[in-house]
Order: sequence, then C-alpha cells, then structure tokens
Amino acid sequence: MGTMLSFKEVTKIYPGAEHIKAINELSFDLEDGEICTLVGPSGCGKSTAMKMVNRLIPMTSGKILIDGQNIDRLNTIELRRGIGYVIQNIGLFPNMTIGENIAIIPKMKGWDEGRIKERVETLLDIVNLPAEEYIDRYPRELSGGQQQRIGVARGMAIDPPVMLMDEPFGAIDPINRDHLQNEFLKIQAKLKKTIVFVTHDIDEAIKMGDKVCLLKDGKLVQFASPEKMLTEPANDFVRDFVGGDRTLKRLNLLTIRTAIRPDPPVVLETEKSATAGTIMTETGAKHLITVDSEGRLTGYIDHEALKKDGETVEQIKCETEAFLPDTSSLKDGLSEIFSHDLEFLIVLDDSKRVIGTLYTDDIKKILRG
Amino acid sequence: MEIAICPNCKKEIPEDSKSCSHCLKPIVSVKYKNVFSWQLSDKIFLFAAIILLIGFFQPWFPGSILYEDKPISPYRMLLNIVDLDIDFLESYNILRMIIIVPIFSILLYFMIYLRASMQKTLFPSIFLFLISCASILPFFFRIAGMTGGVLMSLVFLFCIIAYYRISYMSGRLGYASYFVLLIFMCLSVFIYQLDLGKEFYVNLETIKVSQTYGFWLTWLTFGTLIFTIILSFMKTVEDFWLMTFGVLLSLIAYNTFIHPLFVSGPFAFFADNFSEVGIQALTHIKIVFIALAIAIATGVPLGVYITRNPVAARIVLYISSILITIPSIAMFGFMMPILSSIDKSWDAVSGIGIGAVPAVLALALYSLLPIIRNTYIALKNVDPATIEAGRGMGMTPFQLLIKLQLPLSAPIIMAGVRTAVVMGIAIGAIAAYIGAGGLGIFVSQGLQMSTNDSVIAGAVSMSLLAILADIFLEQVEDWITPAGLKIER
Ligand SMILES: Nc1ncnc2c1ncn2[C@@H]1O[C@H](COP(=O)(O)OP(=O)(O)OP(=O)(O)O)[C@@H](O)[C@H]1O
Ligand SMILES: [Mg+2]
Repeated sequence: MGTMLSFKEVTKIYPGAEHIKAINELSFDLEDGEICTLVGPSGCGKSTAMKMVNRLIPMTSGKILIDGQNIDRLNTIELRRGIGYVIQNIGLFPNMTIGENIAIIPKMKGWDEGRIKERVETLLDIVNLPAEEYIDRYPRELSGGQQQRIGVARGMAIDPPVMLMDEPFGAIDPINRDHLQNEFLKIQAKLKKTIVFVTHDIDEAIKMGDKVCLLKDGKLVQFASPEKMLTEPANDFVRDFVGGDRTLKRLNLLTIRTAIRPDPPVVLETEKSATAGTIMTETGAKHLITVDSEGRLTGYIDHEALKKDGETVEQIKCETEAFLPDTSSLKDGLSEIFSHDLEFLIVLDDSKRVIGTLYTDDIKKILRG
Repeated sequence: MEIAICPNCKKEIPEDSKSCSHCLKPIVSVKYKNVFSWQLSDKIFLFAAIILLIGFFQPWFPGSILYEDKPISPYRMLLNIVDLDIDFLESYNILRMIIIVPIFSILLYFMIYLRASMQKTLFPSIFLFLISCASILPFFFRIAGMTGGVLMSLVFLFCIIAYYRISYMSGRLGYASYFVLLIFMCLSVFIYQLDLGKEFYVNLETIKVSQTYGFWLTWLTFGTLIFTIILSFMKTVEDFWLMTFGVLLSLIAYNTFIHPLFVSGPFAFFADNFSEVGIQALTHIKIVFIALAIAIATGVPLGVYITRNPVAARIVLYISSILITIPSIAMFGFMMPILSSIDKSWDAVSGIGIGAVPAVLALALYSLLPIIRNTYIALKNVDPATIEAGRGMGMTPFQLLIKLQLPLSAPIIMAGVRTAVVMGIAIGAIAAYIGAGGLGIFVSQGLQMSTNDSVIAGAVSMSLLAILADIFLEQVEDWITPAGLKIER
C-alpha cells in the first residue's frame, strides 16, 4: 500500500485576506485505503484544506499529489469526477429527484441505465432510505438529515477511490449518525477508499479516522493515529481539544479483547453441585461461570447458590446478563460493569463461547500503557 | 381540473389527507394531477360546442345569408368579408350574431369550468355589484326622475347590501353571486340573439324554417345551456329566488346596459370592424412576438454572461435601465433616422426606416431590461451550495448552466418575460404612429377623428390581449418550472 494522497507544504492565502494564511504549509501523507479526519475549531481551515484536493479552491503554493500525480497537471473535470464529494451544506439539486441526483455523475460517465438503477438502489439501501419510497421524491420533500444521507450516497455514486466529505453527518440525529458511522466503517472495511473526512466533533474524528489531522488557524498541530493523539497529545492545545476525558475516549477505541483475562474458572452445568464447590474453594474464586458442553455461557454460581439444594450445577445456577462479545469497546464493557455493579464481565466470542473475563484492574493497566 | 394524488403510489387521494389510503404511507406534500372529468354539464357544453362548430360551416347558419343568390356559410362570409356587398347584409347585425355565439359559449364554458375557484374569490360578487349598479341605477333615474331615482337607488342599494350580508353570513356569497352572474350572462346573450333575430327577420318577406334552421339551432343551443346551468345549480328554494333575481337583473341590465353597448359603442365598433380589428391584432402580436424573440435571444445569454463578469454586469444593467426610461415616442423617433440612414447607404427602395422594423427594434430594446435583470438575479440567487456540489462533482460550466442554473432560474426568467410582454403590448400602441400598424391604430385614428368608440375599442382590445398573453405565459411558467421547485417547504 503506497501513499495515495499527500499534501506537500500547501499554503492558501485568500485574495482580500492577505495577512492571514488560511492554510499554512500543511504537509501530510495518507496511505491508500485510510480515512483521514480533519478536525479543529470552526474557521481553522478544514473545508479549505479539503477543497484544495479537488481544486475547488486553488492553492497559493505547495502541491497535492494523488497516487503520485500532481493534481495541477490533471484535467480539472476529470480530477473531480474521480473524487467523491460530499459538501457541508448538502447541496442537493432541487430540480431533480433523489434518483436523478444520485445518478448524475454516472450518467455523465455514460453508464447504462440498468447499471445506474442498480447502483442507485444499493446506495439508497446503504443510507437506510428504502429505494421504492424515496427514489422519485424531490429533495424538498425530505428532512435535513435525510437530505444529508442522500448527499453521502451521491458522493459514493461512482465508487471513487478517493472521497472528500465535509461534515457528512452533521445534521443527523445521534442514533442515525451512529448507525451511519458504523455502516460507513463497515463499507469502508470492504471498499478501502482513501477518504478525507472533515468534522468538528473530536469524538467522530477519533471514531472514523485511521489518522486524525488536527488543525488550528491553518496550521497542522498534530497528525497521528487516534490512539496516539489520545495517549501522546503533541501540546496543550491538543490536550485541551481532545478534552480532559481523553483517557475515557481511548476506551472507545480499544476493544474488550485487548484487556481480556483468559481461561476463567468454569464448570460444566452437568457436573454435581459439590464439584462446583470444590473448584471454588480450590481457585478461591467468588463466582464460577457455568457452561454447556459446547462451552457456551449458561449462568454462574456464587456462595449463595451453593447453599441451595440441587443435584447438579444446572439446578442451582443463576442467570446472568453480565456478558459482552469481545469486539465491543472497552467503554461499553466498563459501562456494563458499573451499571450492574459487577466485579467482572464475562467475555464471549462470536458463537457465545466463554473466552475470558474483564476486570476493571486490567482496563486500568491497559490505559496506563 | 386538478386532483390531489399520492406522491408514492400516484393514486387519487382527498386533498387534505395526512396519509395515503392506498399505500398507507404518510404524505409529506400532496402532488396534483390534471384530469378532465366528464360531468353532465361538460357533456352538454361539448354537445353545444359541436353543434356550433358544425353550424359555423353550414350555409344556413344562423339565418339565410344569400350572396349572389346563393346561401353561404358564416365561415365563408368571414373569409370573404371584404368582397361582400355590404348592403345585402342588413347592416352588420348578422355578423355580430355569428361572432357572439361562439365567443360567449367559450366564456360561459370557462366560467363553469372555474366554478369552484370562482366561488371562493370575491371577483363575482364585486362584478355583480358593479353590473347591477351600472345597469339598474340609470334605469331608476329614467323612469322616476331625480328624487324618485335617488330614493329607488337607495332602496336598491340597501336591498343588495342586505342580500350580500345574508349570503355572506350563510357562507354563500361567492356561490350566490356566481350563480346570478351566470344566469345574467346567459340570458343577456339569449335576449341579444332574440333582438338581432327580430330585427333581421322582420326585413325578410317570408321566413322559411328550412332556410333559417341555423338561427333556431343557436336558440336551441343557448336554451339548453341556460337550462343546464339552472338545473345543475338549483337545489333549494333559496336557489329559486336567486334565479328569479338573476332573471330580473338580466332583463333590466340588458335593456339599459348591454343593448346600447352593442347597438352603438365599442362592441358595435368591434363587430363593424371585425376583420380590421383581427388584422391589426395579428400585426400587434407579430411585432411584440418578434421583438420578444430578439430580446430573449440576446437578453438571456447576456444575463448569463454578466453573472461571470461583475464589471460588465454593472455596465449592462446600467445601460438597460437607461434604455427603459426613454419615452417610447422618443425611442421610435430615434429609430427612424438611424434606420433610414441604413436605407440610404443601401439605396433601398422600400426602406426599413419606417414601419415594423423600427417598432420591433425599439420594443426589443425595452424588453431587454426585465429579461437581462431577471436572468442575472435568478442566476445569482441559485443556492451556492448547489453549484458548489455540481462543480465539486465534476460538472463542466456548461453542464452547470444547462442542468442546474437555467432550470432553477426558469421561473424568475419567465416572470421577466411576462413583464416584457405586457409592457411590449402596451408600448406597441405607440408603434402605430410610425406606421407599424397594430391595435394602436384604432386609438390614434380615434383620437384624430374624435370617435370615442374607436379609442375604447383599441384600448380594450389591447388590454384583453395583454391579459390573455399574461395568462398564457403564466401557464408556460408553470410548465417550465421544475416539479421539484413547486414543493413548498
Ligand atoms: N472565500 C474566502 N475569502 C476569504 N477568506 C475565507 C474565504 N473562505 C474562507 N475564508 C477564511 O478561511 C478560514 C478557513 O475557512 P474554512 O471554511 O476552511 O473553515 P472550516 O474549518 O471549514 O470551518 P467550519 O468548521 O466552520 O466549517 C476562515 O478564517 C475563513 O474566514
Ligand atoms: Mg467548513
């Protein structure tokens, strides 16, 4: 995987505002298939930096390379048609239906009708707007959030290798935004596009980005992976910007798998109750996880349960909800531990087999690094 | 007629429904579909129209019109109006009989067609009030002298205001006025026909039904129309009184108001100069249309160009604003010497210095401002986000113009065209003074010879033309407005 997009000392000075550099010697390299989130306070030059990539804004000096080619050498129209573009203020074409909006660039590229129709339907499906209901509507018949989703679908229409997205989920409610972000990451995992993603929300930047590019007054403050930005903020500005809770934010990035304590003491539910008691005294564990013959979680046993009379473990075990798959974030894990006041959380794999436990101590250890 | 349809399944729904009864989806905004439904009155009107149309090409319609001892049809008569021996036509009354029938049929039909919307506006009530005052008050003064007239007028005004009040309170003002007006119009035409018929047939020595079936046919047609209208409206006792009132009003109004208007007056002038009015109206339309075509062909591209060049924009808008302030007489005056000098240099025999050419050019110059300005403003007002999205996705400037900017500004550009047309029709009146012809001729000739009817006829026909053109262009505006823009947010 080579470098797909690189900024080389790019500077932008707007005519009429010569004393400020809207973008000041910005340089960074983006690998093929990475999402780079541009983040920073309002007016820091995020949109400006992004729009220089498809030459909507001409740069003052420096150069931008896409796939090793200097964009100044390319034909503007061809360059732009090869880059998906989602703008901050949505900008759907009000005179065209949703279907026509999405199909406009494919049409200009001369795709055949069937292919266009199929593509439009897939895209509407991705952004969670049923095609048969929305395809013939006009933008004005949609809510702001729905329009923004159409904007995203339109940007992806020709499946471009490079995409520019300016706050694509800005007008969408938290639930749908979360859904779209996850959906987008899922697609991205498959399609591996190189994306410049502008946002002012640091949480979104951290969630979506393979690289986070933090700008301030047109200057690059830090360009790093989200993990690194949280653990090693370059200066006080970054520290402030990512927030006092940056340690907690890292919990979002890490999965439970990273802090798992493997091979917990378990007991088959077909065993005698007495056996369970023996194991507990031997290991000194206060709780014992019960599993079925496949190793799947069925419940747990504590000292209280042992006092109950019953032949087998199955008869005395208690039900539990304190489990999560190992792909969940540490934040969810911690939240689960706190909300049920647990000592530990049971961690399962995809097929619900018990693979370990999660203790707060281990989380602390991970965060300390 | 327009009916509401569901935007999803395209099936008919009640206008104010919140969700579609067919596909059960919630309705964000209702769409409309144009339909023509054949109601009973529509069918009867169609039947009447067909009879009239056939009759128009029959030699015996609407009476026995002989030309060189052979009967001729109204159609042929209109074609050969100039060659006909005027004397035999028993004045032009017969012509009026022919014209008024189709014209009023169409008018009536439109009124029926617009029934629902007319009943909601104040227009019929105001019109009814004006007509009743204009026709009945002079009648009172004539029969009862000054004091009696004042008294009777007061009583009448009191009555009509009371009537308005009652129908307003019962929410039927629009309905009632519309109904009375309709009766009034039908009956007036009916009586007019009768009058003309009487005058005409009195002079014939023998009336043979076989030779005058066209005349009876028109009567029959009108009788049917009136009957339909009454039947389709009359449902309560109240409606019966309304109808009686309508009949009374029409009888009085006809005698004091309509009859004199047609016997001598602008309408008589119209009928007497039918072909001349038609020819001049066509000339007028031709001049305005060509001027408009020139103005659109230059104004729209110019308007588009100046959105990309602010300096040019200032200059062009400034010049076109100055152009529009030049008095029209002066403008025509300028045109003549300029074009004549071209004539001279070409040694042209029939010059372009006078007549239609300078008129067309002057009108085109006047029309430029509204067209350029509206194009400029419309293009400037297209949402910049839309343009940025288009540009960012790789549309060429030409594609942006064709696919986004022009469709999005079409309604505003069209509004400019409408202004230009209405203004052009009005200013076109002056063109008569430089020999371009057009409806202005009736005004200028009327002023010279102080014949008021001619002036009024010219003015009325020009305003009619302007109104019709405006209605037509409004429709065009509706056609070219992209459907997505008609949705209210
Ligand atoms: N056309 C312009 N002319 C002059 N200055 C401009 C122009 N466009 C933007 N600027 C300035 O450049 C700076 C960066 O603007 P930009 O739009 O890139 O900000 P942003 O980071 O996208 O902000 P936001 O989060 O509010 O969208 C701002 O200070 C702005 O005032
Ligand atoms: Mg921005």
